[in-house]
Amino acid sequence: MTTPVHTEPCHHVKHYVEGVAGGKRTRWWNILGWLHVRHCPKCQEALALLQSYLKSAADMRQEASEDVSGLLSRMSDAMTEVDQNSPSPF
Amino acid sequence: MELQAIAAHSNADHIGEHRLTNAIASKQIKNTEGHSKPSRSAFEAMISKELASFLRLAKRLAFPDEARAEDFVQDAIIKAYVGFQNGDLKLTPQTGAWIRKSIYLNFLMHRRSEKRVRYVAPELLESAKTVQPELHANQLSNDILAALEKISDEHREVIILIDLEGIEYAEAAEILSIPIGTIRSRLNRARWNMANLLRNSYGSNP
Repeated sequence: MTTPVHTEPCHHVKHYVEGVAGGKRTRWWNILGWLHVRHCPKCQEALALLQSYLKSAADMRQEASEDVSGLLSRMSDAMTEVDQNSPSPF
Repeated sequence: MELQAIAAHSNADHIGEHRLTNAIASKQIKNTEGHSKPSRSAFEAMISKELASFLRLAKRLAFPDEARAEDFVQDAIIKAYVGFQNGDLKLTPQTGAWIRKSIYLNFLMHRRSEKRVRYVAPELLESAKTVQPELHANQLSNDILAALEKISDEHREVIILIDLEGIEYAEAAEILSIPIGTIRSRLNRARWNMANLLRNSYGSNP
């Protein structure tokens, strides 16, 4: 039985990799992180993996919206029922 | 003298009646203007604008039970409508957030009761899970939904709210009733879990 592979970047650049994957602008003081990732295959793989996930999640967010016509009419009926059952304000 | 007293008494009665009439009238004005029964059309307009996002959130939380998701949404909106009519809830940009939190609480209550059902009668749970899962045209979206099933509840919730629904961190913290810092750290751990679970979907070269 094989253990599932779990890739994460090296600990000291984890925050940097998460920022880069999320589209955060890098600052000059991140040069050490940038240099590390450039030469570390593990961090490069982790960065590519996280970027792919974030992109697919963003694509899923953009997918066609739900058909709500049926629910909308049921909501309208339920609201009418609430209106009929609510006591008069006077 | 007696006539004057009667006239004065009558006048006092008249003044009292007049004051009472004024009080009723002002109460009616208050009811129709200040704390009037709010307009249903304004509420319906807000709902119809956001209903698709409410339903999508509920479906992802309740996945794969779509029928249950509609119940969560309907229950949350009716609660909001009752609150809106009673004057407890105002139509503000935060109303949507209130409804999303209510949907989440409905889901939470259902999940707790489902855990009890699972303990008492597993066959009831099996019969409830015969509902066909939502299928997306995009295979990757199906993989994401399948991966969501494999992560813990608390990770799933932050992924659904922030990554799949695009809700702001602050609102997600409000919905889940946890500090924003916890949201951030939980989201980071959850994202690494999701990314690794989806490794095969991205192929050898993600």
